[in-house]
Amino acid sequence: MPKMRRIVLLMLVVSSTAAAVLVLGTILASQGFSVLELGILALFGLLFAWITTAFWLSLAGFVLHVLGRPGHRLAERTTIPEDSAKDERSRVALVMPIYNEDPQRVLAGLQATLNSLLRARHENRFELFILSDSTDPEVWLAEELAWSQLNREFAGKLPVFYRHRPKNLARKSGNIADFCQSWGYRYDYMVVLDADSIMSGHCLVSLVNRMDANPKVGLIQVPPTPVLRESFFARSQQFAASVFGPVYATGLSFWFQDSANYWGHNAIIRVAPFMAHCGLPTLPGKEPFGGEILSHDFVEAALLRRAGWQVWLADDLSGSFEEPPPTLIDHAKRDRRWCQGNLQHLRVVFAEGLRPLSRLHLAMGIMAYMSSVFWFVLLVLSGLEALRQAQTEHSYFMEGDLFPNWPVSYAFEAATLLAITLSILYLPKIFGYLTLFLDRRRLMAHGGGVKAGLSLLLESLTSILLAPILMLFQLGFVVSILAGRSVRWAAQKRDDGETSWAEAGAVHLGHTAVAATAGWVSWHSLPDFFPWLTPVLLGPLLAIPLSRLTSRVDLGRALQRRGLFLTPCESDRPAVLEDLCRRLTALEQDAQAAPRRGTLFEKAIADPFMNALHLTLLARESRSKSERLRLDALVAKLQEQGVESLTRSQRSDLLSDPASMTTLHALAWQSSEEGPLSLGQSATEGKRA
Amino acid sequence: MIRAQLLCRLDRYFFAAGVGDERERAALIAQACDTLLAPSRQQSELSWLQVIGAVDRVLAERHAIETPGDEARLTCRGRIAEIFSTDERSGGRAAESLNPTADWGTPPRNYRAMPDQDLSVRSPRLSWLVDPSAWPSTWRPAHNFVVSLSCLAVVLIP
Repeated sequence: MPKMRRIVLLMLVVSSTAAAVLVLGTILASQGFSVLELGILALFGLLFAWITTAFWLSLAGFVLHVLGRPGHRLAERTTIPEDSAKDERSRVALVMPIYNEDPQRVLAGLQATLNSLLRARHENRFELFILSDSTDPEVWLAEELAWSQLNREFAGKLPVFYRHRPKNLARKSGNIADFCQSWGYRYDYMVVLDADSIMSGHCLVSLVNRMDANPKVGLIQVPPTPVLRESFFARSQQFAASVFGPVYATGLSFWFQDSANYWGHNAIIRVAPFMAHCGLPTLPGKEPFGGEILSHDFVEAALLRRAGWQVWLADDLSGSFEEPPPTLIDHAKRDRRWCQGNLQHLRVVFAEGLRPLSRLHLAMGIMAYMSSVFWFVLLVLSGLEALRQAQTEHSYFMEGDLFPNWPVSYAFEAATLLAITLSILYLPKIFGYLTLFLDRRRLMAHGGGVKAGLSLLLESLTSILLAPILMLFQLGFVVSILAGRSVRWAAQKRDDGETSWAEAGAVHLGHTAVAATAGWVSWHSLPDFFPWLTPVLLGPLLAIPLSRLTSRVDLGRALQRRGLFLTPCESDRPAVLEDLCRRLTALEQDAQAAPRRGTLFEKAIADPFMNALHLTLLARESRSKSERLRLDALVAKLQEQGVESLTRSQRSDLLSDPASMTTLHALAWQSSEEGPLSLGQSATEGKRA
Repeated sequence: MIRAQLLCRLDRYFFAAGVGDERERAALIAQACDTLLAPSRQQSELSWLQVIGAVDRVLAERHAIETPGDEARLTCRGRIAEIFSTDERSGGRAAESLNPTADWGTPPRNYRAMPDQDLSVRSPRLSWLVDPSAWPSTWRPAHNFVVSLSCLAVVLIP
C-alpha cells in the first residue's frame, strides 16, 4: 500500500509536469526550437516538478485534514503501563547537544520542558543529558552553573547530567555519537533536542508510547513549530508555519509513510539500531564536499531505512517547538550552513543500498538550494530569449511557399500556463487557510477568518518580495561552495536582535546592484519584457530597507496588537511556552537587578563553589611535560598581568586543566590577603549563582 | 601567630564555601585545625593550597563523599555538597542526587563503538544500459519507468 501511494505521487508529479512542459513546448516550438528555448524548457520542467511536488503533498494533507485523519498509520498505546516493573519500562534520554549557545535560554527551555514532563507524571523513565561542545570559556562556565541549578531544581525527580567535550569533533553528529558510545547502553530511546527546542511532556510521553507500540520503528520525527520571536520577519514565518505547516506535514506523512525523514531534532530515536547503523564515516576528499558529514540528519534517516528500520513523521502531535531566525540575514546565515550540508549529499545520494525514497529526500534537500540556481538561470535564459525574439523580424513569406506565414498567438496558452503555475504555488497556502475553518478554536487563535486572511495576503506579499533576495543569497552560497569555500560552524542567533542599516547595506548592496543592473538593461533593451521582471526585481532592489524593516520588533508587535500574523502560540499559549516565557522574563529581571561583575572565568578561579563545580565536572586528561610547562607559564602570566592578558583559547586551556585551576584558586585566596585582588573578584560574590 | 592566621583563613574560606552558621563553622574550623596543626606536622606557615585541601577533606567527610582513587581534585566536592545541601528548592535532596561515581556530571561510561557505515557510491557501468538485471534490485522499477518515459518523450516532444 505505501508503495502504491508513492507510485501514485510519482505519476501525479510526472503527468502534471509533462502536461506543463508540453504546453510550454507548444508555445516555444511555434518557430522551431532554439538552444535557448530547449534550455528554458528543461529548467521549467525541473522547477515545475519541484513546485508541483509540494502542491500534491499539500493537497493530500488538505484532504486528510478535512477528513480529520492523520497522515501516518502508527499504532499508539495510550498510556505507559505504570504498574510494570521499573526494569521493564523503556528508559529514555533527553539529549541536548549545545555549542556556544546562550546558557540562560538553554536553562529556561530545559526547565520548562522538564516541568511539563513532571506535570505529565511520567518523568521516572526520563533522564536529561546536556552535551556541551562549547569553546567559549564564559559559555562553558555558565553552562556548568545552569547544570547545577537544574540539578538542584529537579533533584530526586529527574536526573540531569552534563558533559563537556574540549574539542568539537565531528560537530553535532560527533557530539551525539559520543553520547551513544558512552551512555547509549543505558537507554532504549533518545529524544534529540536542539538548543532552542521546547517539547511538552505530553508530546514526549506520546512519542515514547508510539515507540513502545511499534517495535519496528527506528525514529519518529515531530514537526517543530517555530515560536516566540517577535520581529516582523520571524512572525510572518511563524504564521506561515502555523497555518500552512500542518497541511504540508500531513501530506508528507501520508505520501512517505514509513520512509519519512529526520530533521535533526525534536525526534525520538531507538538507540540500539541508531548505534548499529548510523555511525557516520568521513567522506573522502576535502571540504566542502568531503570531510565530516554536516547535514547528518537526512543521512542518518537514510541509513536507518537501509537497515530496515521505519522512520515516521508524527504530523498529528503538537507540543514541539523551536525558534526561527529573527531576521532575513540570520535566516540566510543559517541557510549558508544548511546549503553546504545539503550539497554535500551529492556524495551520498548515490550511495549503495539506500532506499529510493531516502535518495529522494536527499535529492529534495539538494534541490532546495539548487532550485535557486535553476530559477536564476531560467530568468537569464528567458531574458536572452526575449532579446533574441525582439531582434528577429517575423517573415511572412517563406521561400517556395505560396501562402503567407501568419504569426500565431499563443497568448491564451501562455496565460493559462502562468495561471496554473501561480495556482500551484499559492494553492497550498489557500489549503492551509481553509483548514482553519475546520476548527473554530484554531481559527480564532489565528485572529479569526478576516484577520487570518489579511495575514495570509501580507505573508504572500512579503514572500514575493523576499523570495528573489533569498534566491540571490542561495545562488551566492552555491557558487561559493562549488568554488570550494567552506563555512565555519557558528552558533545560531536566537534573540530578537534587529538588523542595522549598516549591516543591511553591507549584506544587500550586491543584491540591489544586481536588480538595478538587470532592470536598467531590460528597460533599455527590452521595454516589453521589463514589466514581467518587476516582481522579481522589486525585492532585491528594495533589499536594504526591506531587510531592515522586516527585522523590526516594534513592527512585529504592532501587527500582533492588530491581530495580524497571530498564531495559537501567541493567542492561546501552551503551558510549556507560558512557563518558558515566565522564566525568561524572570532571568532578564534578575540580570537587570544584579548585573554581573567580573567574568565567570574570574569567579571560577576565586569562588570556592564555582571552582569546585568546575573541577569536579572536568574530564581526566593526561598532560605531556611540554604542555605542563606551557600551562604553568600561563598561570604565571595570569598572576603577573591579570586575566585580561589571556586570550580566549588560553583561558580555555587553563579551564581544561584541573591542576592549573586548583593552583589558581589557592593563588587567588593568597592574593586576597596580600592586597587588592588580582586573580578574581571578591570570593563571596556570586557564590550562589 | 600561625594558629591565629590559620583560624582567620579557615573562617573566611568556610564562610565563602557556604557554611553560614557560626557554630557549625567553629566546629569545622576546629576539625580542619586538628588536621593542619597535627603534632607530626612541621609548624611553619601553611600555604593556601594546604588550607583549602583541609577544608575540602573536612567538608567531604561531613557529607560522606567518597572520592574514588587518590584524585585530590575530587575532594573539592565537599564544597558543592555544602551548597547543594543548603538549597531550599530541592528540600535538601540536591546533595543526595549527586552521582556517587568518579564523574559527578554523568553516569559511568561504558564504551560501545558505533561502526562507520559504508557510503561508497556504485560506479556506473556500461552494461547497465543494456542489461537491467545488472541494476540494484531496488532500482529496477525506476529503471523500467525511466526507459518507458524516455520512449514516450522521443515520440511526443518532436
